[in-house]
Amino acid sequence: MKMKNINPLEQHVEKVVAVVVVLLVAWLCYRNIFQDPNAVVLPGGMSGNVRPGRVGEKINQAVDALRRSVKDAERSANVQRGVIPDYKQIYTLSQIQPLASALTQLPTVAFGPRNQRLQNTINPVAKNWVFHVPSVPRLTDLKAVQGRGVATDTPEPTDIHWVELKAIFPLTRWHKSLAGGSHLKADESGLPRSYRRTTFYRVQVRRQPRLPSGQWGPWVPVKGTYLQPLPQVDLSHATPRQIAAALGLLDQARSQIITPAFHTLEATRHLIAPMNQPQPPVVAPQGPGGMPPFGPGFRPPPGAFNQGPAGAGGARAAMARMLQMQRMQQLQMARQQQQLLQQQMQQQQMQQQQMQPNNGVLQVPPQGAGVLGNNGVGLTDIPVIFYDQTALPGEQYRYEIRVVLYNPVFEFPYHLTDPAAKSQPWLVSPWSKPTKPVKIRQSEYFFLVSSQLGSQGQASFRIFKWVQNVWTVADEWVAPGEAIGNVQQVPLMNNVTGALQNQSVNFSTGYTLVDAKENASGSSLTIVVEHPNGSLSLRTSAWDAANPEQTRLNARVTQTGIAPTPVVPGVPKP
Amino acid sequence: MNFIKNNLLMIILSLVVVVALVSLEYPLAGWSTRLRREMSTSLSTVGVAKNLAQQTIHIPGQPSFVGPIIPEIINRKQQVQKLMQDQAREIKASAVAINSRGRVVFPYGPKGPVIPLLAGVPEPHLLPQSNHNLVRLANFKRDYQRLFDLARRNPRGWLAQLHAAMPPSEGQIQRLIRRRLSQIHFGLVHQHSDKLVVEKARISRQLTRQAIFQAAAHCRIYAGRFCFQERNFVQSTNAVPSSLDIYNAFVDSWLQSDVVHAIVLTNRGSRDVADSAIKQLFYVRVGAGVKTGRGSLSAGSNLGPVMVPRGGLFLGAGAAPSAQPGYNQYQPGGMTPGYNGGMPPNGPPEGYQGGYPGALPSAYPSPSSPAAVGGLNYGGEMTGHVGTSDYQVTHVAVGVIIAPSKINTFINNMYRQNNGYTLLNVQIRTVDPIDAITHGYVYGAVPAVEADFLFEDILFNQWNGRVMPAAYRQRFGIVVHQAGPRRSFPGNRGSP
Repeated sequence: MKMKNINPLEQHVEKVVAVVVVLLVAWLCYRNIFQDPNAVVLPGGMSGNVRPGRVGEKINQAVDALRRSVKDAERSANVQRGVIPDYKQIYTLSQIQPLASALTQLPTVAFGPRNQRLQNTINPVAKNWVFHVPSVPRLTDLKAVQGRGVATDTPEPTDIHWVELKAIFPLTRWHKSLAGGSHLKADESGLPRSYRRTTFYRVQVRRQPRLPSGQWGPWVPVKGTYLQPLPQVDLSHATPRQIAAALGLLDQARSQIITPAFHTLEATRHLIAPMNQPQPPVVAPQGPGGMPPFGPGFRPPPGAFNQGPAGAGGARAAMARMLQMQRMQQLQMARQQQQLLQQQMQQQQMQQQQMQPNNGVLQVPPQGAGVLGNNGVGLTDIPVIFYDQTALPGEQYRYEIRVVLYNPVFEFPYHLTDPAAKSQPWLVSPWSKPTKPVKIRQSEYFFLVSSQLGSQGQASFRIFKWVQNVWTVADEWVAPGEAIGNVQQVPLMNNVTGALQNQSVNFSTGYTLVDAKENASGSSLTIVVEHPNGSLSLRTSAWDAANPEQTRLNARVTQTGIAPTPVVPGVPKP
Repeated sequence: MNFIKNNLLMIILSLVVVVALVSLEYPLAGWSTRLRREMSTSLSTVGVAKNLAQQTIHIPGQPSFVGPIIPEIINRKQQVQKLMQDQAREIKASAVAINSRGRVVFPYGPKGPVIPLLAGVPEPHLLPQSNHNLVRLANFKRDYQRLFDLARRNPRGWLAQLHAAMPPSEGQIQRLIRRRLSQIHFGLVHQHSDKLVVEKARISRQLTRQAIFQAAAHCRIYAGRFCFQERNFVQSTNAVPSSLDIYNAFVDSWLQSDVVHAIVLTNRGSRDVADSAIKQLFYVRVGAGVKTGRGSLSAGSNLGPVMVPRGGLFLGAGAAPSAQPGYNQYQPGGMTPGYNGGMPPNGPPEGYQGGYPGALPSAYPSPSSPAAVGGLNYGGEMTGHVGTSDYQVTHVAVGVIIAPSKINTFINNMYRQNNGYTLLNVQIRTVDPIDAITHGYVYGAVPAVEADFLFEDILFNQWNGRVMPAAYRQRFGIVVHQAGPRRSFPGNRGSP
């Protein structure tokens, strides 16, 4: 069909329409086949579309999930149970202390005009009276107790030895001395009330060591152990206000001065070996040249140092776990008790500070009463405690103690029987009677354990050392001219994990092996050792083997289960 | 026709397109919309299931539970609710028991007779209705008067408990000066007259100072008899207290004893008034609507006792009947039978506003007071307590000189006396110590302020209603089951 006068659009219009229709049909097919027009968005913020054919499936999935969550909830609900608060107890407690203690224990605030002090206005002092200088009484009931432990408040746990001195300050006698009457007026009650002050400054101690000859050595002043530095006060050029401020500071630090805090100590380590912990490998002790290191004079006790690795399971492992748990619980309880004690001491200090606020004026202690406690009612004596941490293990001492108090008549405006006392800021009590001798327990022993010399002339030593509240032990071969004791790795209990862990321990004794010689039969060894102070002494293996101290220490070490690390002779020392 | 022939294909295709387009909109579009709506309805089940699986349940004392509500949770919540309800009942019973402590005793158990306490000592057979025995009433009057005895005469007296005293009066100081001057006259008579005058003035100043400070050193608080509120029958020797008087006096003594004990606790350990936290007691007032402040009465003055407030004893109870002097003269045989406390038989008079002095326990609340909803009315005090069938409310006003750091301690000690106390107001004013010492009051080296406390006290009807006179019970609509026939109580000192 040929048509004239037809433009190209009219000529190809059917093609255009056909293309449009095809496109429309294609779009319809795409929308209805590939994109479901009836898909619905899931409700409740859930993502995704659901086609009509999958509605039932989605509902079933949700119901199944709900059933699963119900089962899970039933399981977890039985586990997660709380305790209903005891509201009755809360109500009862609220009746005991209705307001918070922070509200009721407010310090006295210094503001506003102050009234005249009551005590200063009564019992006026005549200028012609002469007063006695009070004398500080001697401390009584002095007792010395030695102890050792592991201080845990230091950066690293430290083994310490100390001597605790306890004495009594007779407060009644001191008050009687303060209230002593004047010689002009017998019925007058001694020093004016505002001058009857009890302020402790220092506790001084000296000790006397027992010499090797059995005689007592010279008295040596002892520097006490104070975890916080004591306040230093110089009253020689101080104004009255500065004196009052300084004495107030000393009053606040009273407990720190006369009953100082001591180290936080770890409880005694348990003596039962942790059987589920890896033990050091047991090496059969070999003497030089393949000979056993122990001669006929020494036999290790049965079972000593030969505890092999514990079994992996069974009743033994269960017992070991139980012991381990007990050990950890006891350690925690000991730490909690120490924290409680510290808190009580802090609270006591705070109460004492609150009871004696320093308002810049002289504090007047109640007459006939102590300076501690609630107004000192019924308190006649004050305990005084001193810690000597410089005592050396194995030494024997006896101690004397005295206190230094503020002189109540320092810069006294009235007459004194001894005018020179006005210029003395401190009064010192006489020395107390000496304590009974106290011997510091030894922390290190060494014994000669070989009855024969080694291949290079060495002698075998067993060294015991008290480390971290347990006895540790090390065996060592020492050649003549060498120092006895070196640094060795010893399995010690980790305080945190409770597991045994190798730690370096210095077993140095300070002694030096000078010479060693076997007897003719070769059954005993005699050595000469040099003391750190230069003296020489003789040791034989037979004597040391029969030493009961060694037997006791071996038993203790056996209980701890910490075996020594045998040192093979000929191997260079670390 | 030719056009159709020539464009037949196009026409057919156009018809197809038109039919397709129409079919897309109708009816296929309607079907699709209905399908999607039904799908959405069905899929809402999915959201419900999801929400059910993620419920957050809070049960008191239990960890927060996230998950479906299962029977275990429902049971646990029921158990917790039951336990809490049990605890609530126990707490309420405990609160009532604590509330009655120190005020009444139950010598024969909770269901037995209730004996009111006067300063800790049982006073039986007086409440809820006195038996008109003159001996017993007189003993009560005597025991009640002993509460106000001067210090050190009666150890159960409030002043003795407080270790209270007053500074020496001007007359006492003058007598002391005259006596001392007469003693040392022999030494002064030979001196020159001018020197004699100067010396006398010096001695007078010294003695005055000494007397004031010795008085301060021998007491813990400045307080006198008239710091406390006493009922008017005490003043008259012939007046016989009625049941209402006795009950009001009991309530006064309970609350004032609490104040005394709180002051004693606050001042515990002090040696003298300068060392005490509370240095002076101005007044203790008990009653509804009491006002704080000293008013015209000077500190601890001897002008007279603290007046009984006009607002009555309890909120909404009207004024106390015994507030009028001479109201209750001696009546042999006790009150007239049928006595209703003077209640007008035909209702209140015209224009009655309630609360005027001498009025009687009123059954008609003041029309000016806002209505109380649920026993609470916040138009008055901040707690809103106005009294319900469970408890009655009264107020205590205390005015003291106190160290400011011990204000909370005193409030705490008041709370410890009884669980019914709530502090409503504290007003603090500065004190000039120089002015105080010129009047003989030494407050010590620490700062002191004058403080007025207003406490609210709640008394539970469960025990208080059993000792209330009938007029009060009728007023408050309290019905209590009294114990059976009265039994002899060993502490009945007044029994003939």
